[in-house]
Amino acid sequence: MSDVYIYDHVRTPRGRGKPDGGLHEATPVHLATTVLEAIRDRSGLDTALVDDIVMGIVSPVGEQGQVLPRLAAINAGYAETTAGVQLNRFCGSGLEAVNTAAGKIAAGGADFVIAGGVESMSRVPILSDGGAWTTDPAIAYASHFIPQGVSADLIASKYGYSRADLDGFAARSHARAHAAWEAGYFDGSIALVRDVLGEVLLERDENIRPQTSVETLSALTPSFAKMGGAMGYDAMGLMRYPEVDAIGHFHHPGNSSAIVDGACAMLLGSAEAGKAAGLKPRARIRGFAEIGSEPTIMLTAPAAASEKALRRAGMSKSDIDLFEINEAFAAVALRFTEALDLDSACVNVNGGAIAMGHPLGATGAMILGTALDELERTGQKTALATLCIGAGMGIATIIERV
Amino acid sequence: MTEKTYNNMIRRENRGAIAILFIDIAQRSMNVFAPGMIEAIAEAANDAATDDAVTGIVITSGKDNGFMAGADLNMVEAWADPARTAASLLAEISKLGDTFRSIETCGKPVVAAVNGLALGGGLELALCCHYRVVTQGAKYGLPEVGLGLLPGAGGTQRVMRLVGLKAALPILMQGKPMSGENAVEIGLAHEAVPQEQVLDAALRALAEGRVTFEAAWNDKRYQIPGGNAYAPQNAVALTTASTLSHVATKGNTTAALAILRCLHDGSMLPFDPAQKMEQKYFVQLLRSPAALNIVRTMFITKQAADRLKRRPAAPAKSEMTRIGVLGTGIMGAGIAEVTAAAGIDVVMVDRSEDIAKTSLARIAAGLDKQIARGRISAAKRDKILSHLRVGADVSAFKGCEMVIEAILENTEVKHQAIREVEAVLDDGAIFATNTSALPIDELAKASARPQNFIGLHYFSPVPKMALVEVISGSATSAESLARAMDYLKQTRKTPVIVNDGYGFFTTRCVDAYLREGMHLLMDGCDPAVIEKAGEALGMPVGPLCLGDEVGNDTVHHISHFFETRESGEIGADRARSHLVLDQLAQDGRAGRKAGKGIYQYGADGSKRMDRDYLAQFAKADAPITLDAARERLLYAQLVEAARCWDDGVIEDAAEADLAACLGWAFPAYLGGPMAAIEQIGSTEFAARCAHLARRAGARFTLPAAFANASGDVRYYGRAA
Repeated sequence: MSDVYIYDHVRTPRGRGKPDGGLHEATPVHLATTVLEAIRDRSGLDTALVDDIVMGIVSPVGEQGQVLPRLAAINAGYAETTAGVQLNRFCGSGLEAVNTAAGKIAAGGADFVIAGGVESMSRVPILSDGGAWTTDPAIAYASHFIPQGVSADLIASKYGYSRADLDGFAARSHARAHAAWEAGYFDGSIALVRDVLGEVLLERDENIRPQTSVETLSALTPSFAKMGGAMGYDAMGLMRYPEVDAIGHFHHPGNSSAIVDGACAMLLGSAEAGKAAGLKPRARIRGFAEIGSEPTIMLTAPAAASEKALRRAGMSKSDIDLFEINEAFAAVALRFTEALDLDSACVNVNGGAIAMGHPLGATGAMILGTALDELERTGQKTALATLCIGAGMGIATIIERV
Repeated sequence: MTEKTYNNMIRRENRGAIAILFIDIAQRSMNVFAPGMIEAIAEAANDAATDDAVTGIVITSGKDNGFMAGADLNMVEAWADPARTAASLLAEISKLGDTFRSIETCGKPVVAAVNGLALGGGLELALCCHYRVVTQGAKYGLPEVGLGLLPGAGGTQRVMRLVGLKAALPILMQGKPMSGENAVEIGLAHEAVPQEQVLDAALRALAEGRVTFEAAWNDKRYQIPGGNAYAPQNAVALTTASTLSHVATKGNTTAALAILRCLHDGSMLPFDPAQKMEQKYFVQLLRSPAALNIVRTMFITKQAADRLKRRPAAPAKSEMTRIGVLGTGIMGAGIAEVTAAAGIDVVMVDRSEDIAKTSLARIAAGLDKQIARGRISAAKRDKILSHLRVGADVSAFKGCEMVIEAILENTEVKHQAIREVEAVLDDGAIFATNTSALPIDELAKASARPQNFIGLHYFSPVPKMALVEVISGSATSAESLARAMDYLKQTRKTPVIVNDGYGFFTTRCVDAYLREGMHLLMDGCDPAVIEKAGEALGMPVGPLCLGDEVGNDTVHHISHFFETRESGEIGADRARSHLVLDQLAQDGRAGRKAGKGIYQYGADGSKRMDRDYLAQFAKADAPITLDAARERLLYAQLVEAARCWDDGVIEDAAEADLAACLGWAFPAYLGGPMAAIEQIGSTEFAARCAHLARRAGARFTLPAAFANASGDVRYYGRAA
């Protein structure tokens, strides 16, 4: 098995996932085309060397259907020989694309693979693909399904996180993301999306509100109280977690990940391929792992996935300098930090999805790229990126700067 | 003119070119799917369909009390026999659906003239016809879910195809009947007319050519209104229905799930494979113990008890006209209300006339609330109140045929009341006590006429709870028992006869459930887990909550009384649970009525578990899982029931099971404690009890007779 290296990565700014969002007019294939063009053009890569493009897309229907990565490759003018594939591991899709690409290369099945993801949530709304999990009664029963927001509230209730704890975390995410943009930490990896006339549609992540505080968030109404009560989801959660007296509803749009549009691409390859193409590797993939967990609470697997990845890499958590946990909900990040007993100063140092948004198919590769940029900026060595995933899964990837 | 009859169940008449099939099952008051009915329908329909002289067919009822109810319950019980194979069941039950489908595809227009109610299979028969004329005001519904079953003769598929998946959900999942007008409004029927016009309307529809001879879903281009399961609205409705039914049943019964699967799976299939799939789910339910248990206990046994199966043959049926109620608290007032509602005059007496008057006013206020909710009419309230009056003292009971006392649970107080009341009663009058625990023979010591003395143990709230535990003392005459049962039938109660003993049957078993919650608390089980274990078992509330609702002071009183009747290791085990009960009593934590108990109660009706207070009771810190707690909460009840059997308190397993399900809401899917023990199997049951006796306490020790029995202990079929 050969080592796998990251040679480059780019992402779009993230636009609010609504009809008035900055990227709403861009088709998802245009978003993907934009990052494919950028990653090619900035390194002068001969795309004939790229064997495959693996992209996470969580709702691969409508304009996100029909193996969009292949269509984007054609649209971007890649070599005809570059194949494309979409994959879906819910919120872990972007990182799954990285791990899958790494696996292909490590197994000797490919020299260069572009991994990444795209999701235009303003155009193809979440849950557009339907599916048996919630709709087939046999599966809803078997999985003790509850919506993720209620799962997040269950985590907060079970582990005793207050509304102020969660809002405090959310405010910090905004503050850190804002500071990182102001300091230009993200600038080196941004691929701007342009309209047909060549005008830039959006300069920066659109959702960040630097003035956010516990006080401003306190006015927001919990989002999942009604669902929890009248629709029976609290009772279902308590069936699975009988030691919890009651589920309190603490999550709201301000301490949950924002719905956004965006895309990203990351170039991975073997050492030999990089040398032959004259590219300098930026980091090595040290290990990765996926894991399943109890599906009702659903969002607690990042800790187990991270421990599994560390074990497989022969590392321990003290070997990791930076952690990126996807901020699907504030409680997810708090629980991850607590479960691994981490110093919050080394977790999501430049903010996360609560501030910048969570374009479902892309986020995993985006936060891995963010961690790589931060390692380079600070001179640190190792980073671990992890995400919670629907139906009770977790995914983690460890990189080391070279 | 009758052309032909089929199995004494259907007769055919011709009106010109129209064949009318009258369903009229001999020797039954109501048409049902009894054995032979489906064959009769198949043959009659086929004869008409293949008769060249016939251009249209009408199916109607020859009875004036309705079109057709569902399946004969004894037939369902036979289907649910665990010895039946899936293949043989599928072959048998598919005869219904396949026959209905052959009617639907017979090539001639078929009209259901639904003159009166149609439920279950009766409604499914109407649904396979091409046109339905129903009766204004009559009831139409598919109540199968309540029996642990589903409409297995095409019902789930045709309802969905007529009204859409989302609109089909409440019809199938709640099983509540609708009126003929409603049926037309939502699209299940075409016309609703007065009952006497139903047949004419059906004939007119045929004559005017308004009836096609093909179901809409036979067209390849047909789409279910609102789309299949994955149409967004349907998907959301299915998710919600899955969650709510899963939470409500705790997964202990699968009828609701099977119905949802019929809708989900069936929405993706053409009619014929969808119906076949529905039949498979129906067989799957029949082969689960829940359906047999629910049908047997909640329907067959209940109907037998309502018909007074165990009433002594003599004397002949009697009716009461005047009843006295002594003690007008919640129980006494409830007894007075249901008695008056049956048209019987009631005299209410309490310690003072004012107390009784206040109680009567409270009954009136309760009836007004029911009027406001549309449950009863003002005329009904006036009629009930016209039968209720207050007496100044026990002399007002003069002339009563029976007096029921519902006063303080204290032997001396009751003895005095018995003497005072009997002094004013006629020699033949019955004295009934509503004690929940004091042995009848001990109370009857104060009676001058113990042959007229009987126990009638009602359950709270009396107007809602069907069960009355009837307890004969050793001197109670068969005549008194018969008359008391006649009175219960008059007042629409379900009597279950048990023998005398402390706590009779139901109170002993409820006590066992309640106290097991306290044992779990002391053994270190998380209190929220204890409560959810009770709920997961299928009890309406957890044991700690139940204590708060009943009143921990009442539980304390009963348990200390029981302690005087128990001995040995089991008695010592009980004393341990008194650590909790005594502390609750000492701290004034009687439960909801005191504002605090196991829970703390807010003025706004909210409550929260008082974990700080409960921490003192945990004597161990070994985690007890929900499953382990659930088993203990079940077995505590089962062992106590086995002990009641051994003590001779109960001797009819079916009735005991009915008393359990109606009296303390023992989960019906288990059939009752006796059925549950039989289904667990004696060997397994004894082994688990021995394990629990070692690990959790001597209260799990089975009676010696059970332990020493050779082979399986059977309760059913051993009725005295």
